[in-house]
Amino acid sequence: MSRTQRLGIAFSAFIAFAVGVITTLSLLLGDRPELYAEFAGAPAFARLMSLPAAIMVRLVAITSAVTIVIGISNLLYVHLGRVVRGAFFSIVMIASFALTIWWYWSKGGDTSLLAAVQVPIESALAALLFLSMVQGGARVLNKRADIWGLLFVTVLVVVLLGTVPIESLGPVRAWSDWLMEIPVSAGARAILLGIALGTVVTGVRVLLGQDRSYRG
Amino acid sequence: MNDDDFNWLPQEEEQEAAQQSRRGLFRFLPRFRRGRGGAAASAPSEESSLSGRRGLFRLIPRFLRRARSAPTEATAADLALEMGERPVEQLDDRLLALRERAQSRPEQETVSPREALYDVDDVLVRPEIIHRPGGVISPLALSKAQQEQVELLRDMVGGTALPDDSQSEGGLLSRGKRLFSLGAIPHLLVSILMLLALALPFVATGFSEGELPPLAFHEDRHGTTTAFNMLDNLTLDDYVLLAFEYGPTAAGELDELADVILRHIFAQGSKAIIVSSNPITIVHARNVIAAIERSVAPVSTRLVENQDYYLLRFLSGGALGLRDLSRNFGSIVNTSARGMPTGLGFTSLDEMTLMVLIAERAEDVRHWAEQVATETDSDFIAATGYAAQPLAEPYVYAHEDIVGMFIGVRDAYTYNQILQANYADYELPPRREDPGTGDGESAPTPSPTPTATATATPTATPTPTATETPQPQATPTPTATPTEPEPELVQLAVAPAATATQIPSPVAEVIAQGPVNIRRRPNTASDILALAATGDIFPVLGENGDGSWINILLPDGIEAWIASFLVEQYIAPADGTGGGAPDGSARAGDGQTVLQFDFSLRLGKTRPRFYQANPPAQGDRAEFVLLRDGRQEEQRLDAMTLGTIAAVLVIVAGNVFYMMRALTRRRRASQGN
Repeated sequence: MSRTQRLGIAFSAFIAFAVGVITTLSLLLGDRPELYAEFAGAPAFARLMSLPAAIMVRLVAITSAVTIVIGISNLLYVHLGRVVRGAFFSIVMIASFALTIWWYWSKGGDTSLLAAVQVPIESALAALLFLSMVQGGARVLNKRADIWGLLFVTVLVVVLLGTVPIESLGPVRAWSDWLMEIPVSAGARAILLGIALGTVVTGVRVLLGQDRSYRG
Repeated sequence: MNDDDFNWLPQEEEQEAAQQSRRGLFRFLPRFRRGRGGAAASAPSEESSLSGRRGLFRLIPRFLRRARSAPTEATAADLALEMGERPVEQLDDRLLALRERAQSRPEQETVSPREALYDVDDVLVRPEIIHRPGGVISPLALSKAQQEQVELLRDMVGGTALPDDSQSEGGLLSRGKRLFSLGAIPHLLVSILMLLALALPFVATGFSEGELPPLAFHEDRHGTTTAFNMLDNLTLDDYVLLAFEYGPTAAGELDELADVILRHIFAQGSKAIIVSSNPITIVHARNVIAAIERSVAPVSTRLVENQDYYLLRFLSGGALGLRDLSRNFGSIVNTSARGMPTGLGFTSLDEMTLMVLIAERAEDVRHWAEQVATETDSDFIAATGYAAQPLAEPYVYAHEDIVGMFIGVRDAYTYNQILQANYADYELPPRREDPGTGDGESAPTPSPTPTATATATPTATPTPTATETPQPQATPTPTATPTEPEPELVQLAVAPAATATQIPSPVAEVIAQGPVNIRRRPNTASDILALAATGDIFPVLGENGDGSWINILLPDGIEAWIASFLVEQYIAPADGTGGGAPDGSARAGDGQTVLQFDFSLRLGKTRPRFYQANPPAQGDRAEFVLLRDGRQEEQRLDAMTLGTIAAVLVIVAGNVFYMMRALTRRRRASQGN
């Protein structure tokens, strides 16, 4: 790696670090005039402090919107290249894209294609997922016939039966509610705590230059 | 310029730095003067190899070649190469320890793949690796190395030999023969059983198992009763921020919730401001509203976008887009999904009476709770499906601003039952003779007869008093900026109309040389909503106190203001002659721009504040609740119940079978030993 490349990496890391710190400080200290109550121009100063974060967040939002345009363009570019080679599904994709555009413009902004095509297809896929999960649930003990597999299947059955609105299943519903309120809730909170800690760690790593997701 | 020119660090510090673990920002400092064995030593060789190339590369100046961009991605091979070229004393402490440990390990015997995968027989079963070309899934194209690995695994578990492609004959016929196999029969039976359980409630009677959801919410941990009461307490001209955060995949589950909540908002006379971080969902929300319109079309006029509801532009940027919504709400709420101004003058989320989130994923609930709910004092309601419930619940409990949560189609059923009971005392408006096309996107069609709503609510017809001012609403009007007082409106003299289609229309024609500014408020400091050309004609709603500004209606239904000295006002007859069109829209002369607007619909809706001296009472739009078609709801709930029971049966039966088989195998194994 040459010195120029090394300098470029250091420069991009410095930019990321500076922008990250400024945005973080702006989010923490901006729009909170109570922090500067002793100053005469506290509200104006608080607004000024929040300005960098507002600009950065707006820049991210705009950039993200532009990436959608780039993504669509790239999708069309790739599939048009495959159309030349005769890929059938690419032809279908390009034709669907053109049909949707034509339909919208010719029908005065009609969006019924979404309700007539997209929603049924995706709902059908979700239904297939349900069937697949049932098939998989029936084969849990095929691969792991031990106490843990048995515990998993038992909990699965109890929770499913707990959602069945039949009066005679009242005791099962009580067990299901207990499972949902205590173990499942605890697990969910643990997952959320893990996500929060992971987010903080990732943020610190980016700020310190350990994690270079920006490809510097 | 040579390497010594970049010698920032003294020799001692460089040695020390090289021996330190190169972590963090320090790793980016240039390491210079590493002529012996360092990574930099590889650069000249690489450069020399490049320089040795023929062609255009030789023409590039040396300093440009050295300034070439960094590699777009670093591969593991690159890193390994760099590590390998680095002197031992410069290795990271962890790598040094790892190296020493590796060197201290005794030489291990080479293990054959069969011995290394000694338990592969327990993991792989024969039917899963038998190659079946054709069928539902196309055969995979394997590389030579992959084919060798497959053959190795096949040999280890005794699978059948891979058929040679050259031996396959018959094309589609041979594929068709292998479409089904005995191994697929259990899967097929399970699928048929599940489909029967799900479909029977829709095609036959007598398959209603279990109880329907209760007719009232239990005040449980989800706070559903509180959430419903907050929606039920909405009043006229309250604004609700409604976040649609679900895609077509979850439409089957969450459309019911969205439908009842939207109907409730419309029935209360409130307005929904719909946002989403998914561009497709914005379109889907428009379809949901169109379906509501079709259901009430026999008795009600259509909902007007940017008047009864607002579809805002989609929020890009994921969680940061939501933060942008919190910080720049005034900017975002000003642009509709079609890129047009909405005319909303909000500056803060705090001006929302209520916020409702309908989310498919718990992650969306998390983002809204973290980025939006914490930034506003407005109350917040969440609605999710069953899958997102466990991970979404903690936020309902943790945030005091999140008052409650609705879950799935069962809560939607209960919600609708409560609504039907609450609105049972209201009468439906008379049936309209021409309900219109009912299509959500087609142009509005003027009604040849007085609309039912217009006759049912006399306030739809402008009163002839010239100085009547609108009555203040019980709730603050959110369209006004807090720092800017509401302009005093003075209604122009308009003759009362016998029917909606025969209303003489006060219009304002631009006589000044255009373009002329049309502003949101009656002052020159206000935002410019549009530009008008000379000859443009607009319907007039009123004027301010001193008559210096005219309140006009833009073609997309937005109220705006134009300076009175720029226009000429007159009454456009609506009899199809002269300056008026049969449908009540203004008609200009030759060469003039015509701005169509359907007065009959406008008056039928009684929406302009100008005409709301006697605003419609709450419940006047009960048709949105009473005309909800919930015939399939109970069938769907029955299908859910039967499907769940079938799933439990399949899971129990399958696992009992496999458990018995495993016990039998273990017993045989123990007997064999």
